[in-house]
Amino acid sequence: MKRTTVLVAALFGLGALACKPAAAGERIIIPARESARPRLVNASVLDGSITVKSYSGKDVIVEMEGAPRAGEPAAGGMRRIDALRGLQVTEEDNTINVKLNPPAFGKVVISVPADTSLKLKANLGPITVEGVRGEVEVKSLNGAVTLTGISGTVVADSLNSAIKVTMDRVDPARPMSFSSLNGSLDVTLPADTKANLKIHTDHGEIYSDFEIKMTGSGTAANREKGSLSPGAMSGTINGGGAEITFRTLNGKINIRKK
Amino acid sequence: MTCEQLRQQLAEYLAERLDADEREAAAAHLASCAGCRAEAAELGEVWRGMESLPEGAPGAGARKRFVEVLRAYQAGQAAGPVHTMPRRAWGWAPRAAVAASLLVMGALGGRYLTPPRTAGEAGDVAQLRGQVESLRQLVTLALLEEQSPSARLRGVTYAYQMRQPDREVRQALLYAVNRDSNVNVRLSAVDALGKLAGDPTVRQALAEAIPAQDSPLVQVALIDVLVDLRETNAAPALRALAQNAQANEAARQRAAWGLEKLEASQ
Repeated sequence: MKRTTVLVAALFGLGALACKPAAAGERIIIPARESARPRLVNASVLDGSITVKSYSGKDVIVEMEGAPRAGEPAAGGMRRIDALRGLQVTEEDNTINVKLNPPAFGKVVISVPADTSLKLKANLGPITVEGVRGEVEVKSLNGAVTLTGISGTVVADSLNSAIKVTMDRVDPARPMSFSSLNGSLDVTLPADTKANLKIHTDHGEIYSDFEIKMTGSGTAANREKGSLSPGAMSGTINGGGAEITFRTLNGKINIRKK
Repeated sequence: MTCEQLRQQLAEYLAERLDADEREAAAAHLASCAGCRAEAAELGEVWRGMESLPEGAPGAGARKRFVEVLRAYQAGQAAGPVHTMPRRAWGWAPRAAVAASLLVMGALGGRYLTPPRTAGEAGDVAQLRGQVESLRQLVTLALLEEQSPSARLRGVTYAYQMRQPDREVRQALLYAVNRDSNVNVRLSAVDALGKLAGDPTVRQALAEAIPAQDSPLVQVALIDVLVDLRETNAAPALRALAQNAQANEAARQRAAWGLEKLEASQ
């Protein structure tokens, strides 16, 4: 117990050291720790975009590219000094928190070891992830979500933007889910993926080049029951396995075979 | 050190919580005793599995739930040896609960799947079924508290598959609808609760969830479920949403549609 407390205190200390704001162009490196547990990068960028790329190193590197909104000299030699252009990066135990709050604006680029899990949130800008092996959780309001070369599991939602995901490998034990109000969903899965699909869409069309064995067609079955709202369609591919749910109100759904 | 003594210290040894003398004595015994080495290797596996679960303080109910599971298991048919964690390993209780539940579920599940041959065995099956159900409930509650949204999604699916989820599970699902940070988990919880529509308190809670909900996707899902259930008590909530100028346009339209359907079905 004591040893754990000391360890946690030391980590908090390290975390405090790791917390420093960065102006545009700077990089922050969070070095690898001894723990074998994969890390979680929790990034929240409200007015900018997030790009995460995997690379062969062990550290997590956070960089920012982008024009600061304020700070340029205004009339009469006056300069705005209250706009915080900075990025806040802190480390807490196994989680690295990256925050960019308004009025700061920029493109946050994070390079991570491949087996890192991600929790990403952006309001305005797009979210792009490449080549990560882990759990990817993405929340977007208006920016397009593009995830490529993912092995593991994805849980993503957006309000108005499209979600496009390409999986290299699907973890059969972990459910995936994609939801969007007005955006389209375009997901590519390896051809041999075994999955149980559940698809809800109101006005969108559903396309797939997989052989889907339908086990329940919401609309027809529900109409028989006297149901008043469209239900979910369900089906299996390659015999069934991982649960994958697609939900959209107005968007098109594409489920592609790799 | 005897084998019995080592067994008692094994958990501490693996957690590296023994002091220098005890550690040496344990290591010396392990070096000379193949049986204890095997046990240590097995327990080490479970330990590493639990280490991969996220760290967290056990909830107030966790200890109580764990003790209940243990008692239920001990009262039922013994299916094989289970490594019990020493009392001092308090911080591991929730994960131990999940590990113990899974071990026991596996053992009981195996017995449950064998068809009963006699009337006496049919009674046993009913008892086992009850125990499996309560284990499923414990696993559901544990999963719903996990940091990973994928794990929470699995928790909701478990709840969906329960025959009669009890009050605690329903509360957990309602909490998920209202407060989960992930929209996908909320949507999944709405589906699961739709299945429990027989309970009027669930229907009421679903209607009450609409104004508090900040995700239009979830608002639409709630409206759909309530319309499906022809829950006319939800009409005021739907009307409020339809008239709320600040709300998302798609959600407002759905609320207006829902209101029409509910009034038509009266």
